[in-house]
Amino acid sequence: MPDQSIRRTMTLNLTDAEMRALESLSIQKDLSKTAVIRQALRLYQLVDRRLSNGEKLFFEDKAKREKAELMVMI
Amino acid sequence: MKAIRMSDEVFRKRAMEEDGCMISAIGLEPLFTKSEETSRHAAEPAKEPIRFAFSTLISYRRRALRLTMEDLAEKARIELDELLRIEEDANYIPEPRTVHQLANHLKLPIPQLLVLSGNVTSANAELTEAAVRFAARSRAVEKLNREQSDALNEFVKVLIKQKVETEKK
Amino acid sequence: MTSRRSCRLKVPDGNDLVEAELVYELSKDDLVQAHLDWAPVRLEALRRLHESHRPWPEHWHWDWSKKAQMLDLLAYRCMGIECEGHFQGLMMVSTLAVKGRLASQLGKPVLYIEFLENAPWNLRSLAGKPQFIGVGIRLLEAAIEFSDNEGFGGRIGLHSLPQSENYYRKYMTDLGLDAKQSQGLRYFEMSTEQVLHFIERR
Repeated sequence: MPDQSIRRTMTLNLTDAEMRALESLSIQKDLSKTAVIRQALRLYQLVDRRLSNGEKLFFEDKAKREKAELMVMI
Repeated sequence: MKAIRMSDEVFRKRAMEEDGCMISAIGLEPLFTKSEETSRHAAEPAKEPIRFAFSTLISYRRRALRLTMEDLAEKARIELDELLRIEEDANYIPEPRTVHQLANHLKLPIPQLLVLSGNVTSANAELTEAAVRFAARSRAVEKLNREQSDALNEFVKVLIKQKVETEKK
Repeated sequence: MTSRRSCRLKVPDGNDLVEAELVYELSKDDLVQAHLDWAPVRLEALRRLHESHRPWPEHWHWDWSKKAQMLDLLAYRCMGIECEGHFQGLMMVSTLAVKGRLASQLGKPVLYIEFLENAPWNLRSLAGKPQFIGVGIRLLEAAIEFSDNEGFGGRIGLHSLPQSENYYRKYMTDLGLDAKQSQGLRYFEMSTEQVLHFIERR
């Protein structure tokens, strides 16, 4: 039998806009909605860890030679 | 959850092809691309003799103090793998903490060792020349213990002399 | 309880297959233990390589303690093949999909293999006669299975060490030197069609 790690089910309450965003990402990324949420959670945790370690996250626009630091409260 | 499994027949064939190939892969953190300036572990080719001098210095000094790699790794509290890499791979730049630990246990001056290891840049011409001479002598005479020993002693004298001069200032 | 399933490895002589287990999720302790098991054999092999002036495998400087720390995060998963009480091979994957670069799957989610390694006693170039063969195959199979179950279609990608390139070219697409990296490693990807060929075709 493949990976039998215990999985739990939860109900997610999303606004219409959030649901549309989730559906759009699901189509764009060719992932199920559950897979999108799981990807988001993994990324959130990874970014959180690195920010907690004192690193910074930037977006870079090479054409404009601009860098902008991500300043959200994670 | 779906199981994806190859049949025994297919597996035997694949395994025979794998044998001797040393299948391996190494991640390059595709989630985070590193810019060239921040990449720690690739030394510039121009600094190769100094890199080589550092690797050789650590190896010779350890042997002069009659320490095995395991002894030194344990005393200095560094990974044995890393010590091996320091002594064998002139392109490898160890972390400053590792350099500090090695300097303390091999009784070598820390500031000069940080320069030689590639952690700190310096315009110290005397140190550079001494490192290049040491590297050249070490390479030329790998099998002659006496010559290695003389080369090592001379280089260490330069390092210590520089340390003393710095402390006087 | 750690999730496992049975799999089989091949012995070097003859056609026999022996029972082994794929461990789906290694802990940090498992990874450190494997490192400790492999280290003395690896060290001895290094000594012999050094004495005979042969190069040592490029990946042997990997920072295992740093790799173990990565397992604190959901973004990484380590799997291993266990047989006769020892890990015969290890693999770490990134559970965050990367974007496919192969034309037929551009932008599609791909499972990236962070590292994949055989135990030193299974490497013919070091051990003379390996204890088991097919460990790497089982790990690639596990990666494909994981990729499929994560919704990535079984697609996998990796950067190959030079000694493995010829093997990967048989079943994956060589996308060349990775311009974004300075280490001079080639990037390989396996499409869903290639997965089918790898798993099923004799």
